[in-house]
Amino acid sequence: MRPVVGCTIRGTHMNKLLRIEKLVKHFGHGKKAVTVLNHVDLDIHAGEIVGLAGESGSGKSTLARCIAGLHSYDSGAVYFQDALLPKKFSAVDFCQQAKKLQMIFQDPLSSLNPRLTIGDILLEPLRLNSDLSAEMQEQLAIQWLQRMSLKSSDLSRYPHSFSGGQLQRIGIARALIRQPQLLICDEPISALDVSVQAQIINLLKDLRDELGLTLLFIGHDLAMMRYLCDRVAVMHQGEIVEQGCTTDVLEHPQHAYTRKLVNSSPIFL
Amino acid sequence: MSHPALQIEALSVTLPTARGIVHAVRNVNLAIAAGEMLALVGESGCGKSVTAQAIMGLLPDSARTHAHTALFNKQPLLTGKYQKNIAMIFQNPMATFNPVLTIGYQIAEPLRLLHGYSRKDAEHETVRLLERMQIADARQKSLRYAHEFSGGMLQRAAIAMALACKPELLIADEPTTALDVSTQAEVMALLTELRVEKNLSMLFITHDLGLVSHHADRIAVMYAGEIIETASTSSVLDNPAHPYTRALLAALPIRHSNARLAALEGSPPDLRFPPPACAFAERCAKAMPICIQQSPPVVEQHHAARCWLHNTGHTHE
Ligand SMILES: Nc1ncnc2c1ncn2[C@@H]1O[C@H](COP(=O)(O)OP(=O)(O)OP(=O)(O)O)[C@@H](O)[C@H]1O
Ligand SMILES: Nc1ncnc2c1ncn2[C@@H]1O[C@H](COP(=O)(O)OP(=O)(O)OP(=O)(O)O)[C@@H](O)[C@H]1O
Ligand SMILES: [Mg+2]
Ligand SMILES: [Mg+2]
Repeated sequence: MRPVVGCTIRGTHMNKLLRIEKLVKHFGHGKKAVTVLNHVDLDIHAGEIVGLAGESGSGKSTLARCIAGLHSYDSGAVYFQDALLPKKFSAVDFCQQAKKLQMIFQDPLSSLNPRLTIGDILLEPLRLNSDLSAEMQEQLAIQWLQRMSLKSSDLSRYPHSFSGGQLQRIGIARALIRQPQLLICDEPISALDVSVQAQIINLLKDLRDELGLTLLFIGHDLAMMRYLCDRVAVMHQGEIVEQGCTTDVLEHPQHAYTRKLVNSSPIFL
Repeated sequence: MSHPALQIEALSVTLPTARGIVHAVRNVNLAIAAGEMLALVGESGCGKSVTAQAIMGLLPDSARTHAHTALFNKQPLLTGKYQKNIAMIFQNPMATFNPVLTIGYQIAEPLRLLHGYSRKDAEHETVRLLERMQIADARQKSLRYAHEFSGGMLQRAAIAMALACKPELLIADEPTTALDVSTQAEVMALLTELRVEKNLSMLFITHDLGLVSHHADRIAVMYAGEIIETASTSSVLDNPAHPYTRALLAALPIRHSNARLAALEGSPPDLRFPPPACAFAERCAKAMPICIQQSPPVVEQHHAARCWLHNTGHTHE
């Protein structure tokens, strides 16, 4: 593994917001058990944007879900702000975690409740725990929609009547309205056209600069990762095979799988 | 182009919503030859998927579809019937599969129902198709359910299912969005191989201009329900004519540059009230008075762009 020294870690503090140590996750039991995460180590510093690339099926989404408490894990440890997260989340743990950490999913349609209007989807988390008046909450929802290039009239529409890209932007607004410290983005822009991609990426970068938001960005587009991420980690068959500064990893890949990934990236312009 | 296999002229689709009628597809012309791959690109929400669903006959009953011509291999489309010789791969592989049936069962279904395979033959063919899509341990995997597959594996299984229909036209709606770049390259190579081998026509909907540049023969660029530019792949990418196409290409990250990405400002028009003239004028840096008064004509040439800048009488930049 590449040493981390020599890589300037940017961020508001040098402290580790998230620390993952030797995380192991199996699916299934007994003979049928499959190891999906095999001793994964990963640190994320506050204010940093870390990219996670890798083969499809290598366990990227599973890792994200373990951090967010959507999956239990088998062994190892996950620390968020130095507090050890339970291996299996209770409902209370989950609500606690949701205030600090939000996730944007790979598949926007199935992550939005089809029976709620966009307004309800955005405001649901605020209604539960917020001191803001109903009017202020709605203003906030409209602000986020507009920041995502959607219209305030969209508040009363239902998810099925939006295009894939519009849904993904709604998912992002829903996550950010809660002002999390860590945002996990599981392929947030793959369904967007390049111009809207640029909009979202600029926005994520701004949020990092303005609010010190920390990001774990799962993606396949290496050109975009090179642009956005301070560091990248590459996953292959449940293991992180290489991690380091983005330019180091993408320009001088050490592991055979990273080389394969870099070489098959469609080079354009 | 030789006689096109898919021939669509003046296709319009409107969708009723609680807040008014959405003019999702407006006056679209599309032609794809046998064995040709046409890439359809454009801003999210511009009507690419609705166009594809109209061709497939998959729109909700409430949708109103109208076209001057809509033929595939001389057979009429838009008849409200399921199109047997057209298969589609969707943007969202999770929604493609029924969660309570095994993947293998669902791939075998069209083989048995449409092509009269026995159960055993269908199972065989299913495993072969999955192997062809580079799914390791295909026999085992065919007994699994959708939630046990990763996004990428599921999309490959969806392609196997589409191929089980033995289509002559394959509509792929962002088929490789969920795949890592090396799997993506493999799947695209497979699709290209199938296209050549079976002389398949393909409508390839995507946002990935890198993939388009490698695989598509021609590109059609869509904006606010209309096709605004169409030409050969190299012609569009090297000499984009429409300001919207130029904006798209400008938004790509440039190698070794940390400059802010050039995102297009503003948002596309509300398709409940499509503008009567050029739909892009509001966001266009080169807009002229005529652009908000009159709809630009459709230029029918080898490189067609719907823009007043490219009309005679107005100078080209
Ligand atoms: N609920 C589950 N039950 C059993 N196996 C699962 C389950 N969820 C995921 N898996 C398996 O775990 C592995 C990792 O899946 P995961 O979704 O984390 O991959 P990924 O890296 O996100 O891939 P992609 O880039 O395709 O989204 C896959 O082999 C998948 O089949
Ligand atoms: N069932 C529906 N009812 C009402 N409006 C719809 C419906 N489906 C789509 N729309 C609207 O029609 C327009 C075109 O949507 P479409 O899904 O075709 O976009 P797209 O070009 O495929 O976008 P993306 O790249 O994001 O997938 C959008 O404005 C969308 O909100
Ligand atoms: Mg995933
Ligand atoms: Mg679509």
